[in-house]
Amino acid sequence: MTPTRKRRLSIALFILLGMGAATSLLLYALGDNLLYFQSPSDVLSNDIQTGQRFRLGGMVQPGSVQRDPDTLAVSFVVTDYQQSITVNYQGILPDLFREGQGVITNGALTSDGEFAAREVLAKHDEKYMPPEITDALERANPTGTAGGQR
Amino acid sequence: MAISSTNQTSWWKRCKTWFHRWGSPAWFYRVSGRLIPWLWCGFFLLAIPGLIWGLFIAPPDYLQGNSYRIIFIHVPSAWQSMLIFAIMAVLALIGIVWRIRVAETLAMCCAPIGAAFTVITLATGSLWGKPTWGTYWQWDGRMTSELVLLFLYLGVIGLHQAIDEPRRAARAAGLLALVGVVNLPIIHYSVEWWTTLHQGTTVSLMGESSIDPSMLWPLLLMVLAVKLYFGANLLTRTRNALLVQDRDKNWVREMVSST
Amino acid sequence: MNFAWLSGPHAAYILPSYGIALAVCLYVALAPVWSGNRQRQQIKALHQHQD
Repeated sequence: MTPTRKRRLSIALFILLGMGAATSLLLYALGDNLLYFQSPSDVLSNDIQTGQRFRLGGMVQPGSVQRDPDTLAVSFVVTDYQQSITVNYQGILPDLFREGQGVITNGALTSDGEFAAREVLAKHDEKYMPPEITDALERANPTGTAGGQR
Repeated sequence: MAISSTNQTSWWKRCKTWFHRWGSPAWFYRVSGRLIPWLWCGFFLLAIPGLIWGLFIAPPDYLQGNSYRIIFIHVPSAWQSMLIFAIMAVLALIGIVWRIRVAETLAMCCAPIGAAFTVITLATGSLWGKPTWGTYWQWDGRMTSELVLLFLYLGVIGLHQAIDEPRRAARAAGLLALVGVVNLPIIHYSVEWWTTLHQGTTVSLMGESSIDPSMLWPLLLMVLAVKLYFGANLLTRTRNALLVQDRDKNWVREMVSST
Repeated sequence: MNFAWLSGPHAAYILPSYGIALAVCLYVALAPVWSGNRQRQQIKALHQHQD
């Protein structure tokens, strides 16, 4: 390689390295602000004030969904298998909202320690399976929900 | 010892000459012209079965039902949008260091195709998000960094067009492409570094994929098809650009008068 | 073959997805073919003018 090319190559790599370092520092500094949602454990350990908007994410605890028969009000427990928070919501739930599946809710804590959600989104996991296979898995292991957990 | 070293040198030399030939616009134009029909053939041979398999033969997903069929276009174009940026950056680096005009031109012709795949990724992902998550768009790490990728592509295209002198334009825009590669690991690892609405990686090269084979095969067909589409498209665009750049050269004179 | 989803609710998301993808791919593939032919004609005309 000629000296000019060597110099150009090292300048290009230096720019790339500098840019990479700057970006990593930026991402490091932003830290938790880049989290799209927080788990119940995060919420309970971070001492979030009531009324402060944030997103709470986790699994819908099986058997915890209670629907009001007359209104669209619904309550369920969001859990990360260590801590859990009860969520109250009024509105239409996404089609993929299921017990034992991931969910992300946007809202704020109320004074009674429960979470008042303004928006509920279903979180999908990375598994893609035909129904016959999940049926077979459920037959083999009737207690667990097949493919339900990450 | 002496024999093996001369063998090695001649092998290396042959590689080098072969590589250098691609640096000649006239050679590039001729050989790529012969390659393009084969790339299109391969594309149709993979894409047509891939689409039919993915849309009408693959079983529905146990949870999402049929809406998951969008992944057969979403995932290939998402991967391609990132791969094209990486290819563009490598070609730009070759252009910047060695000043090979064909590499510079190839890099600049990558940008519009990459931008198109990014648009397809964002649009199909949004249309998949509505029935799955219950929203078209959220500012989570994966979606935001893919949107940044689109802006980077648009920046490369814009910078290239803003400078009149074509070679200087290609090098300036190439530098932006080179710097922009820092976004690629962010897109890839966004779902691991941060909590996101977007799910984690389904298909991995190493290790087990969490997708059933009946759905993986059409996906792989589409992934390969999209690569051939990119190849054919990139060569076509680069041939055009080289022809315009060299319009006063003899090889173009002969080429154009013969058609 | 499974055509049932075409009349299901998800068709409203699947069909536009593939529609957008097809339209963008077609445009991106055909645009250089058209402009290439036009440019070749222009270069040819330029050369004839010079000769």
